[in-house]
Amino acid sequence: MPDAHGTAGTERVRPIPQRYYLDLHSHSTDASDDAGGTVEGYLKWIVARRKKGFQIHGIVLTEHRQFDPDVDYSDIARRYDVVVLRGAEVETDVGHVLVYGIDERFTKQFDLSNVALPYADIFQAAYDMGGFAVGAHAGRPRIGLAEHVDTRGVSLAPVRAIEQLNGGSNDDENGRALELAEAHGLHRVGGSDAHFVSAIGRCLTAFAHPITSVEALVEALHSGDYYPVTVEQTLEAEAE
Amino acid sequence: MSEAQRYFQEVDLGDEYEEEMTPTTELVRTFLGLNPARGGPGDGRFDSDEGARSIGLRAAIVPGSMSFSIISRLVHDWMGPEGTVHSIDVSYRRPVQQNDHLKLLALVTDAEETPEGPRVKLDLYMENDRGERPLQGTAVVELPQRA
Amino acid sequence: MTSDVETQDAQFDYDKSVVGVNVDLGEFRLSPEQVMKYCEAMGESNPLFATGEIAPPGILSSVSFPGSGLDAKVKFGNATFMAGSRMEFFAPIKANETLHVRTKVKEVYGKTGRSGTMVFVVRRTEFVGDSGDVVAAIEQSQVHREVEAS
Repeated sequence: MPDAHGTAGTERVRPIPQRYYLDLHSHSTDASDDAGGTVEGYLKWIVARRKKGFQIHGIVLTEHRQFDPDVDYSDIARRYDVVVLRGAEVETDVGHVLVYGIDERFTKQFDLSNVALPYADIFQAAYDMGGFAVGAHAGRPRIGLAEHVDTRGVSLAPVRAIEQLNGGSNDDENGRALELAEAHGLHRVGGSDAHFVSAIGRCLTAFAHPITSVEALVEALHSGDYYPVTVEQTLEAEAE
Repeated sequence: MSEAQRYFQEVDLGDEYEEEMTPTTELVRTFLGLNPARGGPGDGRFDSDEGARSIGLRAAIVPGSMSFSIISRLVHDWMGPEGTVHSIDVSYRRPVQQNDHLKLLALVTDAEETPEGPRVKLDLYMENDRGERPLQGTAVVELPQRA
Repeated sequence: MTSDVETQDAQFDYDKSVVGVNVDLGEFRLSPEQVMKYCEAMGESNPLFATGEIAPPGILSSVSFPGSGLDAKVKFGNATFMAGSRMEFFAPIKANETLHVRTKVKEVYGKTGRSGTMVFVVRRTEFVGDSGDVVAAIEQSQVHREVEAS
């Protein structure tokens, strides 16, 4: 029976200590119309979770269909000692895509409010402009890559990584994403897709080194040295 | 079932409160009968599985307004008679099927003294036995201070 | 009058002129008997509502009003569903208190999800007491979708 946390597809490995855990996919009331979590609410929750032994070093806010370059969470991030980075979740002709390292060139080239952006252009432009793109919740119907590959045979040539472990997807959907990644040699990330406070950090990406800037995040994503985990696995790592 | 009064000082981040209920077909009919003048979509989605399937659903569903009433009851039960609801905000992510066994969950995500009084924020979830969460939301409640 | 907007699957148009226009729907009053009947149906056992003098806030999601406000006339999809409800309560909802109701279409927008492209219409309804103060406000979001019989 699938559980609401969608843990299928996580590696049953012994997590390496000293990994750096970031939630790469979240939405807040600041900019996502379907979110109920505030940024401060997320950070308070993370602090509370840390007290119980879970490791969540930071989050990336990936609001729907927009990116405001002037928004700055550095003060609140410092106050709660949680890294807060920003990207966006855009909508393309093969589903949703998480984009990190968005700059003015990107927002000039693409209208992020368009719900049918050309995926190949999005992925390639992200790389060309010093950023990185990830196929979001890749196993979900319609808005995940797997279905478009299976039913329409879309090319994965521009795709290097997918969000294989998504906190809002069920076990079957995360499993489907795992199959896609393994079949095509794609790197895998994890993200909560939190819209509400208590969901933040439910799924994470384990990186080899600390990441405190979007530039460092992009560099790490290019490296391929990361994997998706559930927050419970960070507790096990602490216990190692 | 409403619990004894809950006080602001007794609330901690991460506290969970859970109830269970099953919105039976009979209960749905009772709810719709509270206000027959309200009308409905007219496609039979609340009346029968056949009506529901005519619009691509698996089975007869619970009206959204009833799901809201169910989750607001959870909040009322949690807060006690001296609590005050300031807001309830829900998203209907999937249809709620009639006769599904539901877990109703409230989690405390914040508790702070504000100039307007002590406020507690809750995340609210409705979860079925398939692990789906057809309804998610938040509430802001004011709780009394223990003297 | 109508505004065309592109989405992934199709264009949709709607009557942009209704957005933001408040319409008075008249007034209504809840009786203690209605309140208690609602509490019994929903299993509300909080002693606050026991006498029917104070209504559980959720009761507003079950009442009907004279009229329904302006229609955004969205031309998309073949079925509508409730997508979200936000209720704010500024004062207790009392039985036998006259509440004046006004409503407006707040916004219309499109997005994609698991089930395809959707168009959302958000309506804001306010309940005003005799004092002129807003007692409660509801924002309900209805989603227009294309569905196939299963």
